[in-house]
Amino acid sequence: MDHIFNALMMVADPAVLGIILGASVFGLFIGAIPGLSATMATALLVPLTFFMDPLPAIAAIVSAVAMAIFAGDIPGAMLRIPGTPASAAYVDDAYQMTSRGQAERALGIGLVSSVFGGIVGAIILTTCAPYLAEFAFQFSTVEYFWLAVLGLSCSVIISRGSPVKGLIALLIGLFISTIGIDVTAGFPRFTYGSVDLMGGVSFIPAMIGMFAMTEILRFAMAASHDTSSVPKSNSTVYGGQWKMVRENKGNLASGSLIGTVIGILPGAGSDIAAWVAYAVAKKFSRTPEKFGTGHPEGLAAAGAANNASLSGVWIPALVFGIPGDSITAIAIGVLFMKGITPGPMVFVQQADLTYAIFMTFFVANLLLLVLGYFAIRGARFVVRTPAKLLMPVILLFCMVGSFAITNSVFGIAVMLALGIIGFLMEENGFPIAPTILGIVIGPMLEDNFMATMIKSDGSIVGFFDRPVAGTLGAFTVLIWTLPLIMLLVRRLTRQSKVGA
Amino acid sequence: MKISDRLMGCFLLLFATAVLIQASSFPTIPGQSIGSGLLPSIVAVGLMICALILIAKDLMGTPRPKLIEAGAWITDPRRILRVAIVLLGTASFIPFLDVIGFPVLSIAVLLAFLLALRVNVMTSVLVSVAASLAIHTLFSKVFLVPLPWGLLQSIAW
Repeated sequence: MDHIFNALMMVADPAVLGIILGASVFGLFIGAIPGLSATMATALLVPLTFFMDPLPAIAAIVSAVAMAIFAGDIPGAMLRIPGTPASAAYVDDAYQMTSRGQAERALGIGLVSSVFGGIVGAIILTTCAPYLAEFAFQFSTVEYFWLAVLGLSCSVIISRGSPVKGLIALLIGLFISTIGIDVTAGFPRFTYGSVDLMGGVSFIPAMIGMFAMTEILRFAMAASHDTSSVPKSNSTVYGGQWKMVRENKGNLASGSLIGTVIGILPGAGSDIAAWVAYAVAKKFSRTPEKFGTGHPEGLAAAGAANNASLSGVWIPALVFGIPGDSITAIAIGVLFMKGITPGPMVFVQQADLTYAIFMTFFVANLLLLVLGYFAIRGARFVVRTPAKLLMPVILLFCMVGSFAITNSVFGIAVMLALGIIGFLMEENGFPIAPTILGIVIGPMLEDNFMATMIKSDGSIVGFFDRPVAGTLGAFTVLIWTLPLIMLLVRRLTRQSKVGA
Repeated sequence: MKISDRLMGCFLLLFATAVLIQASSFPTIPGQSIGSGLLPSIVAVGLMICALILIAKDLMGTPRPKLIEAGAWITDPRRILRVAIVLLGTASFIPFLDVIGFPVLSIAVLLAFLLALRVNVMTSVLVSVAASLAIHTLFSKVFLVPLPWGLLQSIAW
């Protein structure tokens, strides 16, 4: 109870509340602009968090992301361009409502369901994470090794496109994480005499390059940068929302639960949560034929799911130090920078801070109810902010942000190099998220791998001889081999059909 | 810019071979058979296998795509100019930031990018000067990041 009271006092600090407010406005703005994602909001925010204490730094990320995910609905409803991938699942429903003059109502449903999902997710995070942390106390290096491998494997399997390309992206990230002095043996690797490289490739310029620089390059290559017109509206934001909540309580509850559970799964994020919740709502709806024509059921379920997943994704991140998506990978990097190692020990050593982080989810979601209203009212102006004025300023902000990490142009060089690599990767179907996860988790993976190898005297048996480690190891191996098994079964079935 | 999987695979194969050769020269931990080269070697072998799969899949597929397809932007001089400004403008910060200084360099890069995006001259000048000075003040005064003044050192505030 003391921890909760202390946490409350920490969050109630005017400086923390001010940062939450500022980050929220920033998140709403970035999310509302087509092409700028929640991940990009985080990437642009991280250089500023570098100068903050741990709680405001994480609170800024949590608030900005929650706002950006909701704000992604705004260009989706107004222009049929989802602001973030998490809004793509229900963009047709939202735009159809806008076409019928109900833009504010459609966005109001998105807002109320986002707040509902966000709060349910935060309750699950606050109640489940400490119990999981107690369980995680039994873990040693080998369990952490398998958890890291499991998280990375899921990021490859879930990434869109070819699994081979996902694996290549991950291996590139792992390679980048090996650059610099090896902490186990104290030997400089792939540094070629460069003092800057000895400290390794800082993940912040790398992330800014891969997420923001790639977007700027794509923008520079695009043929036109026009924005389309927004249909007129005659509805209100909160009008009829209570009725909507009562009629859709099942969809809101299922969307929130699906979102939280999908968020917990390593590698799956808010966009997958929204698609799954939308599909489930359609499956169990009495009027599935209305989905895609401006129907509120899918909007409510998927809107709740994408925001609920933001809380769920923090469970593996805080309890095990395994990020579930690129945003928590960035947040974990920020925690490491602040000298805090995520894992079960943070629930003991920094319990006040941990509970304060949980509370920021509640604060951010309640604030969304207020700020979201103004964002919807001012949306027509925000979505029409010319990207050709914003993108050059974002480029400058990226350069200064990268410079600020090392106070040298080395950060800018890293950002540029990884921006070009990231652009080429995305253009050729290689996902970026596994690379970022590889860069962040790589050092932890290697530490636990080397420690287990040394403990087991180089024997592979050491990776399976503890019950939890054995189970995690077997599960990971099953995930790797499942596609091969499925392929084999499909071939055998086809052969037996031909034979018959 | 589309690069065919077989070309990408060849490049990755070469890169992984170079990593493997270098990693094999890393020392082992005293008293152990493993050392700093273990993880890079595993990564390199993994990349080699993936690269070979990429090449094989591309060679077996029909019709085989071109080795490199630059995309439509390469035929439009204005888009080439925009890409060049983004890349060269960013790269120019690496050798020139200390000499020219952040205010002048950032205004120049921003102005060039805005003009290449066909923003009118007055707006471009206003946005580039205002954004550069605002970002410079925020980072140097609030976050104490030592952004160099360069040519404007004499009027630094």
